[in-house]
Amino acid sequence: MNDKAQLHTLEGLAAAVLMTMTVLMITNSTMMVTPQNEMAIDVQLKQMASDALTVIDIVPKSSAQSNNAPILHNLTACVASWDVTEEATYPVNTLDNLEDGLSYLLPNVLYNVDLAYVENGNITQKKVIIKGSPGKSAVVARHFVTLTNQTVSDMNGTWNLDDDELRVVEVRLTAWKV
Amino acid sequence: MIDEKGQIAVDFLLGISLFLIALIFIVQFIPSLFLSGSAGESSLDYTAYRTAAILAEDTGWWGNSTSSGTAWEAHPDNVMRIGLAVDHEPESKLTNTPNLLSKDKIERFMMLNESDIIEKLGLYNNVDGAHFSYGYNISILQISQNNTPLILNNTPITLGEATPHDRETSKITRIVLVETGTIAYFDAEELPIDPNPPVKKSKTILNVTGPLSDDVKLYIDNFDITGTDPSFNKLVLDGTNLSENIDYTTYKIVNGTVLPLNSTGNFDNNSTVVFSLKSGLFNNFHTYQLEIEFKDVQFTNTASPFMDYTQELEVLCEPAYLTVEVWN
Repeated sequence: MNDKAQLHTLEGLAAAVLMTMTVLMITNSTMMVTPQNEMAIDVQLKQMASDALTVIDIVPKSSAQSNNAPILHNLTACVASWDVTEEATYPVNTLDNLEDGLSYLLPNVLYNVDLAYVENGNITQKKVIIKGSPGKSAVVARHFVTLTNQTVSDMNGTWNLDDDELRVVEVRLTAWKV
Repeated sequence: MIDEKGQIAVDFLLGISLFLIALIFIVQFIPSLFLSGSAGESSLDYTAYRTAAILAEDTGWWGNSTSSGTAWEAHPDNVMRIGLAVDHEPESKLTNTPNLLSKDKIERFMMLNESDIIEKLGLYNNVDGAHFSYGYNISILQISQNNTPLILNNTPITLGEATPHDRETSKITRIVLVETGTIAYFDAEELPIDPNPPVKKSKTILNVTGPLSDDVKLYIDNFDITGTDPSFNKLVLDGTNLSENIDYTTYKIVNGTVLPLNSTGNFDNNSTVVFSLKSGLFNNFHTYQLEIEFKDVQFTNTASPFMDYTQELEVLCEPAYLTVEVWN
């Protein structure tokens, strides 16, 4: 019988103890941090971005004009006031009333805002606020507003809608922290 | 002769037993190391997120054996769930305005006792049936006042303890709109000239029907300016001059920026002039007459009856941060 290269019982025991002790030593001496906190920061930023759009969207007209915040119009009115011929080019933004509100609600956060809508069967996406190039941890919040010719003319916008036309516009906020 | 084929050797039996014992030991021991490193913190994350979400987005719920609804602030003994979102139509039992917080619900929330808050918001850890309460701090912070707690009814809106600096905490911030009071907006062109002698075009009059629980907040804009020194002179209530900074305060808003304004300060036709009068001036069931006198401003409306502050009331909402922080 060939007994070469066999692990004997006591050697096996010693090997098992050695391996177990090694694993224990490594796990005890290393701080194991799973990336939960990073996820929590992402969730927080996404929640804040979404809240900022929601709050601007629901601010009543009377409060918009009279509270201490620079949110003078709700989200629908802000979008309605946009001049469709003017797309933002860094560092010039073309939707200042929305930017005033967002910079007030989201200090220390950088963001870009795009408007996306369907026009003549094609999806159009226009940049209206540019603060820079989004980082790897950027999050996106979306909110839809519905424009009519009335809301546009009230805000002196240039959306050129018919009286019976509705235009659904997606406000896309890309936010990140530096 | 006994056939020894197919027998398990004692060596093999011992070897596999040792291997299994070592494996079971490692599997049981190592996950507990992982758990102690992260699960405790992440359950705090969940608790903070859930608490902030339910406070900001839910109206809350009350119920007893015969009835139920969202207006839990009116039924504090039967609260089942605490939520602060406004429900403008309680009969619908839904909220369509998440992130808009009700003043009444916040004020009632501040009056709840600690055990109710911990129990109803689930601010505890359940270990083998035993409840261990988390430390917590729930605050509503004014963005316009450098994130200091919002003050409603002379009470700063903050619950729980101060955040400890010696341990891990988990914090979630939500942006909300808070109902902070009521306001009435008036266009100066629509306000009537005060017909009481001596008649001055720079003086207008407004009815205020009492009693009032909130301070009177008057916003007047679109002034017709006639001279070089447009300013506010005085307020007179039922024939009595009111004292600035005691009975009322005044300021102006220009393009969304709040600026001070006293009885000698100027404003222009882009300004909204704001008067904030103490609710204590309007305690009785009575229609008060409030005269507002300006300088170098004229009112043009002579025909219409007096306008009533109470009929023009609207809710004033301020953006704020709702923060929930929890710790073990």
